[in-house]
Amino acid sequence: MVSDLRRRRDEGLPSAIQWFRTATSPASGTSVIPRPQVLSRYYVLMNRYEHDPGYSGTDPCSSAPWFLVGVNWCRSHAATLPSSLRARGSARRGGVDTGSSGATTDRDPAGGLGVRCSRTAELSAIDRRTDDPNYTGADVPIRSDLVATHRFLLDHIRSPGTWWTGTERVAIAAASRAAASCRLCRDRKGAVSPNAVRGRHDGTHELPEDVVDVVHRIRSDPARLSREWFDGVIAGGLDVGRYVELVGVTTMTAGMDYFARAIGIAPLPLPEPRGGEPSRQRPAAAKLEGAWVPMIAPENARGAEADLYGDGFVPNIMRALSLVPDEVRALQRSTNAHYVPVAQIPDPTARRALDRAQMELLAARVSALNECFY
Amino acid sequence: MSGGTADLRAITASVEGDAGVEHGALLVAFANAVQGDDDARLAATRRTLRAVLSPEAFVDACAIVGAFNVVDRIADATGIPLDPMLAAMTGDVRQELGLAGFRSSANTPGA
Repeated sequence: MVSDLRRRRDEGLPSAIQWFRTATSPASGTSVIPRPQVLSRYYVLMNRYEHDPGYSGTDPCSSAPWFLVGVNWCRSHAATLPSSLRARGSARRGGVDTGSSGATTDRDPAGGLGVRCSRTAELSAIDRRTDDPNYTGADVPIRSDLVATHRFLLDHIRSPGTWWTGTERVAIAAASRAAASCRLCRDRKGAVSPNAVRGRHDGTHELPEDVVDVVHRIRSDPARLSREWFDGVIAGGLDVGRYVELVGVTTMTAGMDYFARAIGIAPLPLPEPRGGEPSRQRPAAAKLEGAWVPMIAPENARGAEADLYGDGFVPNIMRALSLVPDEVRALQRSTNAHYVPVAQIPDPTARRALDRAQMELLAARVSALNECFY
Repeated sequence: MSGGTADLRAITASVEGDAGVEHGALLVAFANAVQGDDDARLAATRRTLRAVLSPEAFVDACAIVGAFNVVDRIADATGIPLDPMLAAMTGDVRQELGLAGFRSSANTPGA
């Protein structure tokens, strides 16, 4: 059906919608699915195609595969569905408002879909799916959960976050990577006090200089970050929510870069940013409780944050980024694949191809070299 | 976990050796090389580690290095204190390894 629909879409939108409406109506022909429902189904199947006609295959992030199963089943079983169920489904599950969304419209002169993205060409360029990570040069197979996690993290970095846009998040990641070879950072790290060395970080910066400095300090000299330094950053105008999200992006980039360095390959290429606005949702349950930043206590993780923590003991490291819950979710995903699943950390028998003792020795040595007390 | 004895001072390089862990000395050397800036040394250490570990175990080692470069920075950048339960469990170890000398110990009152 999708290939037929695409072919008809190429011929014209109104006829494609009309064909689709007929094709997805009950086979018995006793009723036609209401237009809003048709449009919502069309969106599920064709949104990807609308934004990137060059993309083949079903959008893996959509409901399309499941929807097609349902549509085909309903068509063949329409006569057996209770009429009340069919009526309620059409009335309540259609769901596309073509008149009041406020979206930029480019009305089809023939009165077709009515709401069409006017930025299709631009979105096609920047909204492509995140590619699989490039491990060129690795002479070992990378296990599938790591590949999936790296793709997830790259997608997470490129997407609009809670406070930063996708463009800004990619810029933060780029700054984190650049810190690894920054001369100012090297000079500061070698100095008795990082504050004794003045200068400008290497390279051209898309972010304000003070933000770049924060990223570079976290990446290159985390052991000497202090409460005084943090207070100065916040007093300088960086909102604490933006700071926490910046910490998430900076550190996740560092983790992938160190993995690449350890494996012996170039850092994974950063993707093009994805469009869209940050959510700007601050969790009300986040409070100051002994750390520099507000955190959500496990007992207060409810509603939208109910999924943040599992059962049992939740260490502060898993709460540290909870002012920006999506960064916690990203950290969990990262930890699950790079270490052991978070829920199994307390289990001393949890292991991978390395045994647990080897994993812990390596982890502890890395942390000692980073001079991380925690 | 295995019932054996481990000399944790290998973590802070106070002593050399395996620390009671199979290939422990090599894993420590690998961590040193990845965290350092000598690419030739890293390449040599990587080759040695690859020769003794399975491909899967080698990838695990690289993943661990990545993981703890994340969490170390998160901890230090957010000023989180060591959890009281963990602090109680690790007092002897922290003292033996001299971890109170790390600047970030200031984030844990009484560390």
